[in-house]
Amino acid sequence: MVSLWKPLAELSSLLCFYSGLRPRVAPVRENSTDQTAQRREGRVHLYASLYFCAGLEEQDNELLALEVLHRYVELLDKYFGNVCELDIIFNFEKAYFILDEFLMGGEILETSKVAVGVVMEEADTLQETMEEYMSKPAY
Amino acid sequence: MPAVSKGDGMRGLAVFISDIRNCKSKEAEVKRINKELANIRSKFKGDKALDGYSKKKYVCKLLFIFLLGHDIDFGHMEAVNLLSSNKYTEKQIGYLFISVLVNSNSDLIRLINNGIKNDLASRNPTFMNLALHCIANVGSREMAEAFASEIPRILVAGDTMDSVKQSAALCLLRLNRTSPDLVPMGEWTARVVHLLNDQHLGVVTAATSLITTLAQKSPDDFKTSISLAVARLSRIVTSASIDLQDYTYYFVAAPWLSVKLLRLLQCYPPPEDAALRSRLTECLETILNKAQEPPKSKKVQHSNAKNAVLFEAISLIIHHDSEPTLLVRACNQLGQFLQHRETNLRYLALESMCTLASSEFSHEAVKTHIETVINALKTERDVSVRQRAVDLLYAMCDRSNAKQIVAEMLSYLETADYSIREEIVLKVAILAEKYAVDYTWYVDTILNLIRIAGDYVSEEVWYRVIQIVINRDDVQGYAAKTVFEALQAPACHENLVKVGGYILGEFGNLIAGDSRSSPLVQFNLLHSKFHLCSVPTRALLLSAYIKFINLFPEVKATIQEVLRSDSQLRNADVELQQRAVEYLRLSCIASTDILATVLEEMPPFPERESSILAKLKRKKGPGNLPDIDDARRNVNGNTEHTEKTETTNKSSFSLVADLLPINRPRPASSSPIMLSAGTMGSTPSFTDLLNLNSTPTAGASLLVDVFSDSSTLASVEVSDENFPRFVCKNNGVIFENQLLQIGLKSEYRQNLGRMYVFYGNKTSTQFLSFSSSVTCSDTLKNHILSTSHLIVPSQLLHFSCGAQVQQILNIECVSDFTDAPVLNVQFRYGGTLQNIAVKLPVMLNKFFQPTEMTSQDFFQRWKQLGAPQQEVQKIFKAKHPMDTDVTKAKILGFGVALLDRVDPNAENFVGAGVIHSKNTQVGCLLRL
Repeated sequence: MVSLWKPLAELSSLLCFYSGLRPRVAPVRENSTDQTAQRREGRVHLYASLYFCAGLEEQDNELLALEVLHRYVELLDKYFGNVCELDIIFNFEKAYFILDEFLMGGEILETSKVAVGVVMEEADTLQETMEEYMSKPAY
Repeated sequence: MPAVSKGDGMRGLAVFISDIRNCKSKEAEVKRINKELANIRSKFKGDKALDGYSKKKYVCKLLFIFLLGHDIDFGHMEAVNLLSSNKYTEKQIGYLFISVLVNSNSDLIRLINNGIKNDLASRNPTFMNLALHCIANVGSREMAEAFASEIPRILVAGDTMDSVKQSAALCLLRLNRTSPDLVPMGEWTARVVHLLNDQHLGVVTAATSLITTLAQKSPDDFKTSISLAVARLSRIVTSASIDLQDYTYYFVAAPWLSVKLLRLLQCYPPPEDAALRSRLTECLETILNKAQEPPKSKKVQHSNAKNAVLFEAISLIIHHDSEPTLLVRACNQLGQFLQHRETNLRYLALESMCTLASSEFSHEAVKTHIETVINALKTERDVSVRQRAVDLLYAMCDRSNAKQIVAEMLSYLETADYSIREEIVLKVAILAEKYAVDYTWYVDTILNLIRIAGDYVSEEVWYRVIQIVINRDDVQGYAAKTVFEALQAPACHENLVKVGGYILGEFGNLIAGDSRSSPLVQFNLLHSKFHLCSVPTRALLLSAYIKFINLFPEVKATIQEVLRSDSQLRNADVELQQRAVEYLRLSCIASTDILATVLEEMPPFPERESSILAKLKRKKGPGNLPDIDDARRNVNGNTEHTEKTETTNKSSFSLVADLLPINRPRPASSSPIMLSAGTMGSTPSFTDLLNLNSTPTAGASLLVDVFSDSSTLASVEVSDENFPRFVCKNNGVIFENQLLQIGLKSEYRQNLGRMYVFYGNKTSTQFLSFSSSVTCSDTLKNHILSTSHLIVPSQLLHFSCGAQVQQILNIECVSDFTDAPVLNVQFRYGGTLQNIAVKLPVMLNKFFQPTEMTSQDFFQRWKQLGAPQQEVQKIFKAKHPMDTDVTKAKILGFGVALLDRVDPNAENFVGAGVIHSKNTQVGCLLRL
């Protein structure tokens, strides 16, 4: 875990969600059977400086797993407005919340971008106002 | 620091993260973190009660520190407190912290469960979702215990919001995976299936995931989902791309749902209902048609999503394996992908084609792509793709193209990646053996393998070539000549020396007529390699030398000289030293006749499944190996090599256990001591193991070799090898081969018995016309009644991969008997009719009723039974040390009551029981 999160703190963010496991930063086995993920190197910079990693079970559909990642990036984009690593570092909890709206226990919960977006908006309206925020102590 | 875009942020947290990022060194970072931890700790311990916001902020900081890779050992309580907050964000952070950090910490789990319970009962959908997420993310047993019955209720309740339904479905799925025993099936299961009809596609998607998992476990309960899934799928594939609005992903209609529905359908055989079946076929055709349409978007997301559905549809077509046209179309489609510029598609196409190759309908279609696949092997840049190409070549291989494929694999092996060499070696070895018409080709191929990739040739491979050469007279001379020539190379692999030593030791005489390979030349050639070899190889060579003495009396003196040298007689290795001493003595004192008998040529090995195949299966894991073994013709003699001369004393146990076909009759010809004459005396464990063959009840099950019975496949020879193991027990596996496993579970009460027979299909294809019957010999018929009926006859006719069906046999004992009934099983697999006959373990002792009696009673009765025909005494030597507990268990398993402290001699075991039959009851006493 340390080794994987470490580069995150320094250069980028990395979120792992294992199918069937809770979403969290987790070690990747070196002999990962996820062939598609191994061959995604060229695709990484597509998502700016974000690295993604997904553990798949044998019968999982690999192409669709790529699109799970893509859809997640879209959701992050939608929320943060062209997401970058800093967004995720400073709002890591939000990245988790968005993931939670999208996946649950490794399975797709909601594939509609609109539906997830609505939930996130709603959640934000439940938060304190900006005024409240500015009045909080910085430490 | 970027401006927080939306909602609230926690300034303190943002400042802290900035500080960490600004740290110049690792030490500075650790220092900053420790400072923060101290701060948080004092805040949590302080007298002043913290407000919700502060608590949230500090918990969030702890979480961040944890994610940086540091241990967090406090703050859990504060996180749990946040659960009871009314503020959404505070609750949310509390749940997040628990999801990421808490594992089954028993102190807290009750408090957490309490918080979850309140939120589930709150009827506030946002809170309910948070709680469900937490359960799904943690998924611990305690949570399953607390909520497994509550969640199904939420899922099927009419007034539950859609988003909560989705969460509840997936939460239940997660609990079902982690603690399946705690999730009760019930009336909700029927209602869950109807969620497939829900208007909300998100609900349908989540429900499909749940149903698929549940249906894999109990297919019968969810049969009704087939028609609903087909209907749903049909509506999706025929919809215009904009119909589904948000659920259209880059112009592909609901790809996730489609894939899940197709996967659900893979839990079942093709629908029996004709209309439904044709509707499904239409869907699949539509999906295949769409692949031919020009893409609606140039984006990779479009093609990925579209092809994801296509590949899943092809998986379903392969799973059904019943529509030749669809199979061939699928194959052609994959053929196009083989040359696609997307590596992912080429990879997946190769992978899917592997399974297509094993279907009789599409095997030929797959073969047409051989050139492309061979080309892929040579040109693909990615090793994982090349690996798939090797797999596919292996799967598409048959007699017509074996030579080409083996040649291509061999030439690829020279440059292959180290990581996949061993697997390729195994595959080449298997193909070469399986499709060898001409065994000289086989020998050449294996020697080439050793030459090209000697390090990757495992023991199994070279054992095998020796077995085959020994069993086939026609190839022995050629083999001797070829290994002799191969050994001429200045540097040859040790495995080649082993094969060469063995074969020349057995068949060197066949080429000794040629002066270029005279006995002395052969010996010198072998001995020139001797000093470069490891101990096991040297041991093998020594055995070859003693064989030479028998074959060629003219080199006897030379060899004796070698054996006599200090480097042999005083070798530091005890095995080598012993061999040298014993062989030398043997050669000196034994007459020619005795030598000829002791060193006789190896007898043929009994036939058995290639252990190479077993090794490959182990390597690839179950289910990964395309099943191309259907029409196996074991023309080759193929048993494991039982007498491995280099087997040393210490390692012999495990190795021999691996190699010996335990539980099978030994070939009658195995009496000569063969090559290992010198080691026999020093390997007690070896001889012990041989005896196991004759002690069937004695714990031999540990050593059962599951591959030992493949030769009964084609014959109808009654299999009774597992029979003796059922003397003392009622449950277990009575028969197993590559295709089928038959398990038994039996219960007996007085003169009645009931036997449950479980048939498990081990293959990835279904068995056709499966039937079974029980026959009794004529004499037996009068003594035993058995009736049988199948529990699920319709399913039995075609029962599919991984499936298990059950049959019940009722047995009544009319009077005493000695023979046993035979269970005949017939089915079609891959076009050939399989016949299996298994002796059922119905024995007289099964009808024992244990009887308790006192010591006095026992001996009184014992004395009454004085007549000669009433007593049987048998003295036998224990094959194993007597273990009291094991023996007790055996006697109990035998069916009698074990009477403690009855016999004056504590070492004796005493038992009593009554055999019940319809006509009589016979009391029976036993002393051991």
